[in-house]
Amino acid sequence: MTDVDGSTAGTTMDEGTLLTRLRAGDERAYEALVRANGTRLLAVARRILGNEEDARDAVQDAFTAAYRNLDRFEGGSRLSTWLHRIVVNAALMKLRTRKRKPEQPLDPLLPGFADDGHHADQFSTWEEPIDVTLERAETRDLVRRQIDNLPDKYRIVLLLRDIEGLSTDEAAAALGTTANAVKIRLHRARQALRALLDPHFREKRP
Amino acid sequence: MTCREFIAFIVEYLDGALPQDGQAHFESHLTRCPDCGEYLRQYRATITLCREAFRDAGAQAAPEMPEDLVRAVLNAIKRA
Repeated sequence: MTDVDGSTAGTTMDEGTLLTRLRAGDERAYEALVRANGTRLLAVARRILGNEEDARDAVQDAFTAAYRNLDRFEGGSRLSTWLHRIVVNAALMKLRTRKRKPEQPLDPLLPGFADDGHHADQFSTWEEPIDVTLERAETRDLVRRQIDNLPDKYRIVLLLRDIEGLSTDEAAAALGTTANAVKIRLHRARQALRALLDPHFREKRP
Repeated sequence: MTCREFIAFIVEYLDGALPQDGQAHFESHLTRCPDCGEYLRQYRATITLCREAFRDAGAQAAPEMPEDLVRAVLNAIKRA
C-alpha cells in the first residue's frame, strides 16, 4: 500500500498528523491525501469498471464519501486501506447501476466428470514455468483480457479476492452476500479462468 | 475421494481450512491421481497469473492521477 504522503510543504507528514489536519478541515491536507492515493484508487476503479468515465466518477464518489465519514475512521487500519475499501464500494455501487452485458454461461468452462466421479478429460501440462510466462507483457495482457471475459458476478469476486486482496468476509460484506457464496463464486471463477488460459499455455504436442 | 470431491475441496485446501483427516484424504488422492495433480498445479498458476497480471497495467495506462480529476475531487468536497 502507498503511504499517505503529505508533500504539500515539501515534507512527509505522518498519518496521525495528516488525520488531525484532515479532521480540522485543512484543504491542503486533503489535497495531499487525494494526490497520494488517487492514482492507486483510480487503478482499482478501472479494474472493476473497465471504463474511464465510470472509474473517475467512482474515485470522486469515494473521496467525497471519505471526506464525509472522516470522523468514522477509527484508525484500526491505515488510511490508505480504508480508502481502498471505500473506492471498492463506490465502484461496485456504480457497477450495479450499469446495464448488464449479456453473459456467456460458465458451466462449459468447468471440469467434467464421469459417472464414477473421476475426470472425464485428461489435462495437458502447461508449457513453461509460470514465473517465466509472467515476464512477458503480452501474457499479462492476455490474462487481463480473459478475466474481462468472465461474467461480472465471477469477475468481481476474482478481482476482490485475488487481486485487491480482500478477505472472504470483506468481499462478502462489499457484495452483500455470504462468505460461502463468495467461496463458491471464487472457485468457479478461478476454474473458468484456468480453462480460458489453457489453450494458450498447454504444451504443444508434435 | 473422487476427482469431483477433490476439485470441490481445492479452495478449502489452499486456505488451510480442511480438517486434518480431510487434508489427509485430499493429499492421498493427490499422490495417486496425475490429472488432479496437474489440475491443482494449473489452478495455483491461475491465481498467480491473476495476481501478477495487473502489476504494471495501472502504471502503463496513467502514471499520475489526471490533474482535472484532482480538481474535480477537491471541488466536489467543497460542495459536500
